[in-house]
Amino acid sequence: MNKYFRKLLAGSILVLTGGQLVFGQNLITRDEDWTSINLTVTDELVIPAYQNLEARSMALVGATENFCSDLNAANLLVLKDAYLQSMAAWQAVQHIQFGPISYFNWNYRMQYWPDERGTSGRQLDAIIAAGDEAILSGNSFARQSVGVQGLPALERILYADSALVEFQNNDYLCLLSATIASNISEISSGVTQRWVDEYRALVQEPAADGLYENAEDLSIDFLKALQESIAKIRDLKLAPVIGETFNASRNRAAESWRSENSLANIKNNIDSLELLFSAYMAAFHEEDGAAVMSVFSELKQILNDLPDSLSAALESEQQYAQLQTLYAEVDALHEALETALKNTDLYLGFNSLDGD
Amino acid sequence: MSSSIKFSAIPRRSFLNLALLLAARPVFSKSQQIESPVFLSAASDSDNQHWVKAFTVENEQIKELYSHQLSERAHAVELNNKADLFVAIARRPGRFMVVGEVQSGRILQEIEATEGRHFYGHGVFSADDEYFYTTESAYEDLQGDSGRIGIWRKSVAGKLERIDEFPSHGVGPHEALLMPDQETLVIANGGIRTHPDQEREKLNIDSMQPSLAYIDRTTGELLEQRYMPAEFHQASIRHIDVNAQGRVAISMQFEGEPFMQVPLVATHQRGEEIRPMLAPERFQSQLEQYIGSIRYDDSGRYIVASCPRANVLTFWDAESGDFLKQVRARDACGVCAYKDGFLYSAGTGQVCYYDLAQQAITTYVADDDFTHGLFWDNHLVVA
Repeated sequence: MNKYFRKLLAGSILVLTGGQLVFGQNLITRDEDWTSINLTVTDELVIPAYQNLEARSMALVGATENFCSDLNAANLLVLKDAYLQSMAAWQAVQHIQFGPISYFNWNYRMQYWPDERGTSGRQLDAIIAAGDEAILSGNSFARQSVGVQGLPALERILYADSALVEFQNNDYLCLLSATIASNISEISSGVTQRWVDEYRALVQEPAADGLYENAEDLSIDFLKALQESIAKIRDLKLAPVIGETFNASRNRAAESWRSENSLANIKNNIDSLELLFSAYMAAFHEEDGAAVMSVFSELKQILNDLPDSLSAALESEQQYAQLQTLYAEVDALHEALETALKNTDLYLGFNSLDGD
Repeated sequence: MSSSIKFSAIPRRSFLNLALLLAARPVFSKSQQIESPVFLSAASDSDNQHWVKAFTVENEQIKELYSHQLSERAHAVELNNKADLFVAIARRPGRFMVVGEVQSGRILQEIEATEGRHFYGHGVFSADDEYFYTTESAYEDLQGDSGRIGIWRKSVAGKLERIDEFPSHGVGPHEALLMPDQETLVIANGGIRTHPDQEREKLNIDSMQPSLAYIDRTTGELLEQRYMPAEFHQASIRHIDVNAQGRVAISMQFEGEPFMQVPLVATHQRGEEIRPMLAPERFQSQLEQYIGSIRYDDSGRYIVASCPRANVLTFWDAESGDFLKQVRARDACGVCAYKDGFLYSAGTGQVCYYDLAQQAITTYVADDDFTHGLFWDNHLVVA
């Protein structure tokens, strides 16, 4: 248990003791109590995680420059490692789809996935074939399609079958990779800076500028991020990969399948989501909170026994069965959280989930 | 007890412009005359029960008047022009309508869709209230323009009887309204094909072709049809309103890529092209490609478009085409013109009043806590 986790749990328990255990009603009724949790989440989880992403992205820029100054296998490995660390840092904040990350399409420019129509590959192939350096200037590149920006685009280039040879034969790949890495770094810095300079103040006084109705409204954004992210893991990251049967499984439907990092992503997601839920424990009835935490614990145990790569996990029917168990457990987590929410007055959305 | 929140985050120029424009509005407006308004909306609750509910507003409190349980979710509740009848219509691909008395809530008729048809949740009365037109799908037609306008006539006994139908000249007709000439129907053909056997699955996203169709309500003749530009063919035209000058306000839901900057609000005047309206990028990009309801205020100049996915209401000037502002309103979708602004309802159970001139929200507390665990559905109407 890390220090943030312990601190968050302690805070949650303190608030919980002041709560009133009546089903179907909010346990937190005072705006300042919501603000207190929101601030803890912002200061202890969100901002540090974005700062980590910023640092990892800067390291990625450095590793790209290093590789491009001396194109060899060892430097490519270092660059790939820097890429994986940036991706891990992104996965820790991937669930936050509101606030600064939603400005300027930053979320899609950081990671356009799933890419069901193969847009990214088609567009990357086209710009590599054209070798147009003019589009690589900062302002111009930011306006290019999301398919050629962000972590998936870089993964596609770095994890090509004969990446090293391709880099050695085509100078444009270095220029392009450096541009993608710098763009990732700029987005990470932009999001971090706005959380520190602007959004934190909003978390402190959410209704001041009318951007939120009150502190509870902002808390619901965090809880919605949590619930939607669990659904995304289940419905997008696992279901299309696992398919109906072992023979129908499709590794290439997975996020980060090229870097064989799909399950590592989910491990990072779950760690972050558990911390986030812990922070809001006081909003739930004690037994509901405990039930959710118990599923988190089981889920982490299952993930612990699985490799980082989904393709490795898809190699045998026995491992495939473990993936099915993983899917069922993520579904159980979603259900446990839904039950916990249902026993409060915290509604994540009705019309917002509609399609009419 | 009520709470008022004033907003100061609106760009100052827009704020002043809106205040000036509002000062120039006609002083007299229809809904100001209403002493005991009856608001109607479909709703669901946390036990997954579905309702049509009526409430009124007294001393900034909302008070439930009556409630009728439905077998499934309804979408809109439509009123006749005398405002003494309501029709609650199943949301797609549902197949029921319920007709009731506005004042008493007494249910007069329960209607099932014609065989091979499902409803889209909307309908509209003719000016004399003798006919009712519903948007429907001939869902077994998987290739052609399967949209239909069902024609229902009031019988001697006062019941709605189906007498005919004509094509909507598109797929997925959603909201339909009567133009000020009282003879022309304007239809929002959403363009999306659905089938009752496939629940709410959208079957033709790649080839969808939404349109605005003007149809003679007597002959079914297509008088005019407008499409969005080709690059926005996935912008499903769903909801509309029309002002006294015949300017149709249009709201859309974009089915394409989530990162694209696509107009979601537009207006149309007969004989002209559709005029799309975009908010500044920082607002537009937050709307999550989805507008719920769209309504004019009483002056017929200002438009509110609810964005439940973005948790905001957006305000627009239909004359200039300008985006005016947005206000936070979690899960708000149902809107109707009321007093000097709009009443709106949310999936949170909240009902609020937004005063356009004062730029202030007043949250109405529910008498007897009747909105506890209640989710107001897409549309709100006032009699």
